[in-house]
Amino acid sequence: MRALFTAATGMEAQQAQIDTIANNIANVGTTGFKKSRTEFQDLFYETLRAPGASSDDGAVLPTGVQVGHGVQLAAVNTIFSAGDRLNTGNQLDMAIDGIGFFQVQRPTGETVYTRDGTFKLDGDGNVVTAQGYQVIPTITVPPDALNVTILPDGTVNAEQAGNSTPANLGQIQLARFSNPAGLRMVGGNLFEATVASGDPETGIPEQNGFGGIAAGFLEGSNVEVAEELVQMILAQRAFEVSSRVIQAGDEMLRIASQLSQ
Amino acid sequence: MPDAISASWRRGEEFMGSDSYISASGASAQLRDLDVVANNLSNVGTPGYKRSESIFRAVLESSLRNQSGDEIPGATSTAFVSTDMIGSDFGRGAVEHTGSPLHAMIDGPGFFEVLTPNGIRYTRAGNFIVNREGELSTPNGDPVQGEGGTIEVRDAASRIDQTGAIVDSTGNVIGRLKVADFDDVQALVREGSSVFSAPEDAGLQILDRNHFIPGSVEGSNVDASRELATMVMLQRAFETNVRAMQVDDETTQRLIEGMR
Repeated sequence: MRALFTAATGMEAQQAQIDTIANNIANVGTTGFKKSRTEFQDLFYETLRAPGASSDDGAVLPTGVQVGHGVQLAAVNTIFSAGDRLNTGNQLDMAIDGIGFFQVQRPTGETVYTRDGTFKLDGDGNVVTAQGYQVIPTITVPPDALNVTILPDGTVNAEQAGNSTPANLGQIQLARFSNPAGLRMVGGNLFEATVASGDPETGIPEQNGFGGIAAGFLEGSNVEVAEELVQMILAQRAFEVSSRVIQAGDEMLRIASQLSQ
Repeated sequence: MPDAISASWRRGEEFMGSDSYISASGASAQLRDLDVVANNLSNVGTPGYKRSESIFRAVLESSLRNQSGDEIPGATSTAFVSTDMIGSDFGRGAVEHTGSPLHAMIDGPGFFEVLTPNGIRYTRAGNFIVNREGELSTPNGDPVQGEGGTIEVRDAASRIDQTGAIVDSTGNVIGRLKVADFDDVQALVREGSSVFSAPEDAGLQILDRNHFIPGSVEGSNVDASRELATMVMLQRAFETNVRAMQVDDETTQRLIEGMR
């Protein structure tokens, strides 16, 4: 009776679906969060008789007898659609209006990527993420800066006391990947490049297809609660029907075992 | 237990006519059918999945013979039941909007062509991604075959339009999806991972003028309530068959007692 095991794969798959939905819903308020989606495929089949085989009397049978073994999780993909733009008014907050990731450097030296533009200043005046990772290329705001403005092309300017022309502090650069779905999520709203994502291609905002910078805004999560809840209901029902098959299989085995009594 | 039932069914071919063996063949077929229902229900959320359906057939219908071995005219013995075929129901699944620009559903007949390590395979699941080589592929990384072979997607803002053209962010067409169909779809063999393989004589043809629903995938065509109804029915049929075997057993028991 493979029905019991087949139904168990269905329950496992829906469990994975619920786990993914739970993570998406938990991050509905996380800046720059990108939702995940589970992809399912059917498992292998046991071919008891191939289609086109001949029957005992020589006739060619139109279809075969193939019994499937259930379902498997093929992939969990990250969906990089844009999130809502939230106005914060903070002069160092940035949202990317289009394609691209901010590049930031971990203390260990490697570059990681994020859509979360919640930038702050550290003790030395460097522009850093909430974790204290420096933005690449490094931008340092002098202590006497009165007002920092970031232009859509990523140019960072600062007004200084006693100086009528604003000082240019540098320019934000963005990175993009041929396969963003291949990036690895490492928590903290950060992504790491992998073999699957390809090497990063860097560029200046608003050029060569890169998005522009919207200063004073943040990109919200792209999770849509209603959609997730619908998926959750479907997963719950799918889990339930697979568990019903296990009950039915169990009941049939019980009845069969009464034969020997 | 199910193996024991099939074994007794096989023995039944030697002792044709015994009610118990007829019931056993039925019970065995119902166990097989539960496997089919279980597979359908576990794939209720699998994009592009096509439900399987058991087709039962009466077998071993043969004439009764008299004591000297001659056929009795017009008299036949009862048939056994066997799972004759497990067909595929290629009915269309629901449109599931995903919003992903590289997802597409074929609006009509046919299959996407996929190049797997085992050769060309066919699928209805249009939940495509870009693989590590930068090619449009299935979630396993097997490249989808367009009209000009594998389609390279270097621009992350590319999308599939209604005609199946893959358009990059500057509006250039970088490839076009191909749709294959078969004269005999029932000849397709299920291979798992949402793909079918096609035997040579399935009658492959490449369709032109296809229409696609972009940003969507075709959902599974399994209807959970219908499968559950089938399951309840086969559960009861199984119970009836087992009960019949018990009754037959009791009758034989009484016969033996009467002879004492």
